[in-house]
Amino acid sequence: MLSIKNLAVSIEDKSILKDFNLDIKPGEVHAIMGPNGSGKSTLASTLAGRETFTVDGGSVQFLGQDLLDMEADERARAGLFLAFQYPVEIPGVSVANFMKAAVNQRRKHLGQGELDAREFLLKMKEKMAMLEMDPQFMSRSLNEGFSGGEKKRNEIFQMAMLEPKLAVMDETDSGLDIDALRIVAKGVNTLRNEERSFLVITHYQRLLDYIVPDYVHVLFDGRIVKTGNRELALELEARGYDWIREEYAALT
Amino acid sequence: MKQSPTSQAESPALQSYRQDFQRLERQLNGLKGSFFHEHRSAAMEAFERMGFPNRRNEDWKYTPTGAMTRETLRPAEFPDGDSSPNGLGQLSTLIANRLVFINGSYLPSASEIIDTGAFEIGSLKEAIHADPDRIATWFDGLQNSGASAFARLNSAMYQDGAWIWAKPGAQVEHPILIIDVCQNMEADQVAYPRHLIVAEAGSSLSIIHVQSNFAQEHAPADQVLYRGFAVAEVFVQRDARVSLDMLQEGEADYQLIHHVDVRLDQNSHFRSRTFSLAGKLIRNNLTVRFGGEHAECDVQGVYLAAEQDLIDNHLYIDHAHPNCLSNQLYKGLASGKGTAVFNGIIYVRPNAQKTNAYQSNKNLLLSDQATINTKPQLEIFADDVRCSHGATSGQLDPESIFYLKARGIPQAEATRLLLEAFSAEVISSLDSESFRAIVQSRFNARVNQAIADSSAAWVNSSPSS
Repeated sequence: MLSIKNLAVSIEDKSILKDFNLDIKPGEVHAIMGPNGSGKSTLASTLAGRETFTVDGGSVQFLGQDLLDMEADERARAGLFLAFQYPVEIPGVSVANFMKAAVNQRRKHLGQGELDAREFLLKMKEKMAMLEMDPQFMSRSLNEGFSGGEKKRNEIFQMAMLEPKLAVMDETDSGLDIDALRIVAKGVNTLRNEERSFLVITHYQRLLDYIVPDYVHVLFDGRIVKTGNRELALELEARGYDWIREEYAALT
Repeated sequence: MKQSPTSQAESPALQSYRQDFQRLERQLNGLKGSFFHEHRSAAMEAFERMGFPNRRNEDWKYTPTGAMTRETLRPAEFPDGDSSPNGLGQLSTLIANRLVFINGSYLPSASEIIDTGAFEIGSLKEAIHADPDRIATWFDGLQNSGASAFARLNSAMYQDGAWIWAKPGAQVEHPILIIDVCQNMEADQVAYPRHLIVAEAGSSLSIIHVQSNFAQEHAPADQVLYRGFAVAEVFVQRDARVSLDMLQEGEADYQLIHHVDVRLDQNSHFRSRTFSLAGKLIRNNLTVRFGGEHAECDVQGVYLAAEQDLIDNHLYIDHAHPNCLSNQLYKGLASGKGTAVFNGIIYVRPNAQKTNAYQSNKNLLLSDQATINTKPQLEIFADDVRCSHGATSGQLDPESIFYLKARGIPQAEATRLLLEAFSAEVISSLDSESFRAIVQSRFNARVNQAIADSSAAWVNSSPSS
């Protein structure tokens, strides 16, 4: 599914990811945890194709394609989805119009015809119901005036509509109360299957109580310094990140 | 020829305008010596005194009319032979009372009045012939455009235009569609459409004014020419309501200088939506003068200056009475090497207490060679007023583009969605659903073209790193 080798990324000459390696197979859920500034969001943005980051070295293969050679929109059409940490407010573009444009692009890529208006509406209603969203959100401007929780639910709603191969979730749990967290997790778990993979980036272990990962990686100073299963997440929750820092310092 | 003749006044060009005017005078059967003849003469003299503006005039600083006014422009004639417009294109979907003018002359065969009631909709020329004294009470009564040579020239040279009059309390069921087209116009010709709109007390009028050669959209570009020095006067009497929506769009050499002068009496309401989507040079002078208390005006517009187009909107809102409300909202796009100009004056006279006046002008630049000149101008001489203004010029938010791209929407489509959203506030406020659809589709077509041109320019200008 995704194979990242020796990836090095910088922003404005500041090196952020250094020799980053990760392999994700179909159906797997990987969690990446790490303290602030370790490079978590840089990883998400680089995978999605944000141009403010510079790739200095390494490679990323996604479904057999060179991901780094693709534009952000090509990556999305190929089946990569980024749930934004800070979804952008876009006044004047309704959720429905936006979703229609996006879904049809994805379907076109898959060689499928456009959904007719009725099918599209039914699908939107179904996915909104799953995320306990008011159907009136369809006609509202994208993210404009949405609460933090509504924005995050809207991200998962889009994920459900677009049915990606790989979903990268960038701190989707930040700013969510326990109810919203539960709804978001339910949405994600509904989408889990043998073919779809997830990369869950989070600062806290809490989300992983609901979305149980197959692997947990600790990101520190731009590289993965430790890999384990969900027990590792619990350990981090209990002990914090200081012992990672000390172990890492001893190594280098 | 009195008064300090300037060097311009003696120029061959101005002499030629005088000769054309004298030729026109000889054709004024039965009107010689009448109010209308005197009025034309006075306007011609005023024009000769002023001469055409140049860029040293603050008001015309960003709008180079030199190329247009250096040459002598002869009055356009009614085209010979088959003079029906080549189809009305999308306009035929509008159910409306339709008045068609070709080169500033009325074309009854293409016009159609579908409503009946206490109003008159037809040719101004015919109305003047039928009852000159009545028209004289209104005609050129606003003189707001006194400052512009183009408007004076129109007052001297006009052939015809719309006459729209609603009796007190009258309503017209369907909108009134005025179509100004140019046909077989030559490169040295200009049309002088002249429209007069009177909504008597308590009446209500909804007018759509299309100034375009797009009815001829299938003709080759080099055969399509539109040039007009146009004037429209609008009287909104006590408790009356007028809505005036304008669509201005043309290929290649389209040049339009358009004065709209509005007077609002007590408790009346005026709203306009102006869409200037393509043209080598478009200049709108919209002047609204409050002539009584508790009147309101809401003027909005969208303009798109692509390629090498220049689109200029000058607004002048004159709060001459207390307790009135005005709102301006103009949204503009400039792409390619296009230039957009916005100048909005809110003038609040000393007695005009409790004035509410708002202005907003938002612009987006789509290329690094496009230009926006925006100048809000508040001149406030009363102390108990609420006035605000804001002007912005910027680029599309890269974060928004990225968000859309991250959902699989290609750059061009993402840009189009954002530009559609940018203009939606104004376009969606159009009352007529079918006209809204026309404006939206014309806007989308022009925007798609502008995006295609701009992205080509980006590719060409990107460094070969």
